[in-house]
Amino acid sequence: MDEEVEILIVEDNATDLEMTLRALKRQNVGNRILALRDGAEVLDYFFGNGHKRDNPLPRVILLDLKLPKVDGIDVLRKLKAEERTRRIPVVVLTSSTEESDRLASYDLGANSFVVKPVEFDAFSRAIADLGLYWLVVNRQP
Amino acid sequence: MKDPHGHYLYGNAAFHRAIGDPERDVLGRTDDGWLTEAMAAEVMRRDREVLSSGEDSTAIDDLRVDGEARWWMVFRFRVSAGANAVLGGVAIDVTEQRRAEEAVRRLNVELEERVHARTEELRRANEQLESFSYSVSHDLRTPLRAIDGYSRMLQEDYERILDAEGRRLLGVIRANTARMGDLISDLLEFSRFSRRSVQPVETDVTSLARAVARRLLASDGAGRAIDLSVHDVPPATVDPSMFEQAISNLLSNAIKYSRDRAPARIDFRGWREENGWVVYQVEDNGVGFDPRYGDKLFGVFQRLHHADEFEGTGVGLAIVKRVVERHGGRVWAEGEVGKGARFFLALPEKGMGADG
Repeated sequence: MDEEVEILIVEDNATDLEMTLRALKRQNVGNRILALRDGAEVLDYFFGNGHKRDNPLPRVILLDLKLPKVDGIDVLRKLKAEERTRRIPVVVLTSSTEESDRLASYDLGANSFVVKPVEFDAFSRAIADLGLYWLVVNRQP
Repeated sequence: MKDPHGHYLYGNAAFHRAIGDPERDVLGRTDDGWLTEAMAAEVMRRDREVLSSGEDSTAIDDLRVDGEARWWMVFRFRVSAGANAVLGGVAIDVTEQRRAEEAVRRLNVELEERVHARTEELRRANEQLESFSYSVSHDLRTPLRAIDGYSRMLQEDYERILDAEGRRLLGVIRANTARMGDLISDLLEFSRFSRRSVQPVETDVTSLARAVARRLLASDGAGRAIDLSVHDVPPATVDPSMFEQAISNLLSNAIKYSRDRAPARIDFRGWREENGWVVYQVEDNGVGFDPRYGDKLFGVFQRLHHADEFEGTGVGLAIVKRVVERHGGRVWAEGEVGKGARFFLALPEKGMGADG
């Protein structure tokens, strides 16, 4: 796997994932998207053994908090603790409006915290804005 | 009676009976003969104190006779007899009282423990319930987003091949999804006000209400003729952000339910009662309500108007009530159909202190 990954989406919910991909495609951002379905897959992608250490780093990670196996918060903690991954912008993208989730995410070094709107148009807009901002407007580290 | 070295000189019949010595054998002997070493030493210490100071004393002596614990209330006094003082003592057996006291104490401790355990159980159950309702309303959002999203995709991608009725049906699905989204958000909001800890500080309610009024007039009240006055009101010891939400809900209700009036008249007042409570009142000249259903106003999801008359989920006033109750206060309302409504918040002036 040599090609560049623009966006890494960590999302266990298939419908949320499909809607996210659709919104990004509409905005024409993120042609190279990698989707992983749980926290363990993310840790394996970045910190797995052998050749996986060379997996390309994404330009931004959209991270859901409620994930099977390894929780989003734990994934975030690990990503921000490791030299190799700590500068990758992480956008926490979650259904949680819980203050404790928000504070914990920022404490661990999340670069943004976005609550997924229930309403589809608002959701699509939020995703499109995120893609545009992190891939086009924002300067990489 | 004892001599300064602790030898018994005299004891009445009751004394001999009590220590199980009908033969009056104890005379001339010390307490060492029938008390444990530690008890005897303690008795000796108390005896000597009275003998050396000459001051009477009353003490409860814990004496064991034949292995049975007994308590005696002992009154000690010094009898001067020339060079050699003699110790006199009168003892009353208080074992039964002592046992009764002990039992009451034990019962109290047990009772306290039980209350504590029950409170803890209740707290935990409540916490579980809160977190349950939280996670339920949370988990409901994901499928809801999917329903809304996929019906929207259907609308976008297949608009051309749907006829008017097909488009209408899709519209109905989406309207109801939006409604359910609002209900869930409001339920979450309500549960947040129930769970958050109250942090009361002295708050300038007048400025707080004026800021809320300005904000609401610019949003909810935009483009309408509204005569909203916030009078000077007493301060209160409240959690500012929670109380702001309560006032905001009341004022935005007043704006909503007076939208047929031009101008709508809304007044925010407050006063101090003689009993030390502070009362705040929001009055409007809106549609009012049927006082027969007044007690339903503050219930969660309770509404007195049809959804097509006035939008809303029926959580706003439930939040007001929850906020005020968590400050130790109460809420009530007065009104009549077509004749406006008055909502009251009463708070104990000194506040409640943090309730965690």
